[in-house]
Amino acid sequence: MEPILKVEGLTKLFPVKKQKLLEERRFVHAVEDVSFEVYQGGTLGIVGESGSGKSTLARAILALTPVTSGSVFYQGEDITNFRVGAAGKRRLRSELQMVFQDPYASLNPRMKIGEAIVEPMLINGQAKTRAEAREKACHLLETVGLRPEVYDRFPYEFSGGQRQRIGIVRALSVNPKLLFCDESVSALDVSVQAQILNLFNELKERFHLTYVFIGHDLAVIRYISDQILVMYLGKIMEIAPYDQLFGEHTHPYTQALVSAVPEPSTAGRSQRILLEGDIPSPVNPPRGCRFCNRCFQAEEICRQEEPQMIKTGERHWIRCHFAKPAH
Amino acid sequence: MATIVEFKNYSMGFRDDDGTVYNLLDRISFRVEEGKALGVVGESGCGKSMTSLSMMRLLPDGAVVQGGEILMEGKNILDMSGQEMQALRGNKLSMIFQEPMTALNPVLTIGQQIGEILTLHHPELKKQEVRSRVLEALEEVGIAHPETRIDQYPHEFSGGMRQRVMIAMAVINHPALLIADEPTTALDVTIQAQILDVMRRLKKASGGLMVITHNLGVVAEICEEVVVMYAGQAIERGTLKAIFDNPIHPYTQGLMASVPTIRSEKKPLYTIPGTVPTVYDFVPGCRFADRCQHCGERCMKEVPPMRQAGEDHLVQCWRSDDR
Repeated sequence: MEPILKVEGLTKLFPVKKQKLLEERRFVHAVEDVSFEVYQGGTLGIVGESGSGKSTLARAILALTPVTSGSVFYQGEDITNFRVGAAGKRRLRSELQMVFQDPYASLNPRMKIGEAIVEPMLINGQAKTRAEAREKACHLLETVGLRPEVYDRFPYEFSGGQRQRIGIVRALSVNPKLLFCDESVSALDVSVQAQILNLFNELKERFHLTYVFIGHDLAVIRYISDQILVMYLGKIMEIAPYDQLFGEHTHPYTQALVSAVPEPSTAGRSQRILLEGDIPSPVNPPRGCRFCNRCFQAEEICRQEEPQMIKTGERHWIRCHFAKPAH
Repeated sequence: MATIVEFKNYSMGFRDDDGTVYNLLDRISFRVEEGKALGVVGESGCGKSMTSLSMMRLLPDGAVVQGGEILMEGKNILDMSGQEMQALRGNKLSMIFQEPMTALNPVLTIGQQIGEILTLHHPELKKQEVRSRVLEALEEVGIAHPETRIDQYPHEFSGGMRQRVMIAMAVINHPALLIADEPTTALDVTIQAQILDVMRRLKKASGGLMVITHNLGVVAEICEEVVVMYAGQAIERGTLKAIFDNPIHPYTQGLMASVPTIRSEKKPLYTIPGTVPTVYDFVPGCRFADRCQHCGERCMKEVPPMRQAGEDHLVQCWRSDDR
């Protein structure tokens, strides 16, 4: 089966402003050499701490920021930087949609909810007339659990959870196939977060969607995804099926992340792995393994040589010198 | 065991432009014991922050205290003068805020800012003494190379390090009560784990700790006692074990069930229908009533009394009556 989205060696560097004239040009290594595949109907979760490059990765795939090198394929077609002509671009802009983190910031406060939903439909030709668009919008509002009357209201009249539902409706209004959700539930209260997560799962079935779900909460990402990509300082550390995130057969960084998640239970936890220090600057990433100066297993080779991605099992890759390859 | 702070039937609300007072906190009672951590849990709008601001007497304009007492080592802080309060804040009573980025002054060094808290309450200290006490505090919260760090400015610190500075500032006068309002919400998980580790260590050496958070995991990590708040009512309280292993109030049960954990199964998450009401549409009875699947007629009309549900376990729900 052909993947719906395939990313190959994607790299995004941001130049750092020079302080001196003769200084060597330096770059922020935001995303480096990222490759992965997403299949129709699947959900890929991308986790990482702030500064790991997960949002930049999504923005680069969607051509919201030009990529430095590498390629992006959508349904087999090379769509890197959306260099596909005006008609192709318009199609991609409707088939690849994004739901943002902050529903307060992503809705125009002076635009009625309905207008905000209808506008992309008319631009992308999903509806011929305003009346048709309105009918579709009302139908979608009902699908996500809002009453159609909200069409004529303004964003300030809604709670965070309701606004996120509106953000989802707007993304769905142009019949997307692939939905990028960048921290889409992070700003919500836990009880609302549960409602929205369930909604995402229902909509996936109903509209045959494929998700790329970006977040920092490992528990949420694991819950919603079937494949998980762990990023650190712009590089992929591990790609694993959701049920194989535990145990010693994972990347040391993944182990540290899993162990850092505070669990809401009174059962005593096993040994916690406490990482020292902060994420280093992506301007001067450590040579060798990106994670070497915080890793509890690091040895000399880790500081000298960058490890490659090693296939350790079915749909499971780890970037570590000590990973055991699958037979 | 000594009680550091006790809220006794404390109520407060807000006066709107017409002079009408809307009640927010409704007869809140709980205790913080010496050497223990109390977790105040709830979603946004449930009155967690108003509880801590009441404790600090830093309520915003328009807030009205409607009754009850807040006892700090036996004395009602609601009766204290502004001056008495000022002597208490930063000294016996201190607070760590959520945003370490905005709570520090960008034009003063870390050493000056922490030192100021010390000299404010102990003007007799000599410069050298202040510096060595600040160095000690920095070391205590796990800041490496305190000798260099003390003379640096906030912009030279990462988020996690700034939160450590905030903690150092809060504990330098060995407060009787430390209030932490969402202390790790703005931080990454690995940094959060570091900060929780620091707080766990400090807890042993300090008076009482009150942690205000929406994160049930954080509560399970550092607290011994828990108060669950909903729409201004403290609906359930008790030991961590009682609340987490045997939640009784339907809201507490719903809250626990709706959080995906790192080991949870892939079935639909439990959801509580509806949303948290605002202060203008609270019902006269149990404020959770209209979202509760067990709601009866009495629930809408009368606030249920706090009743003993077990040893060290209290719940404010009519339903526990029928069990």
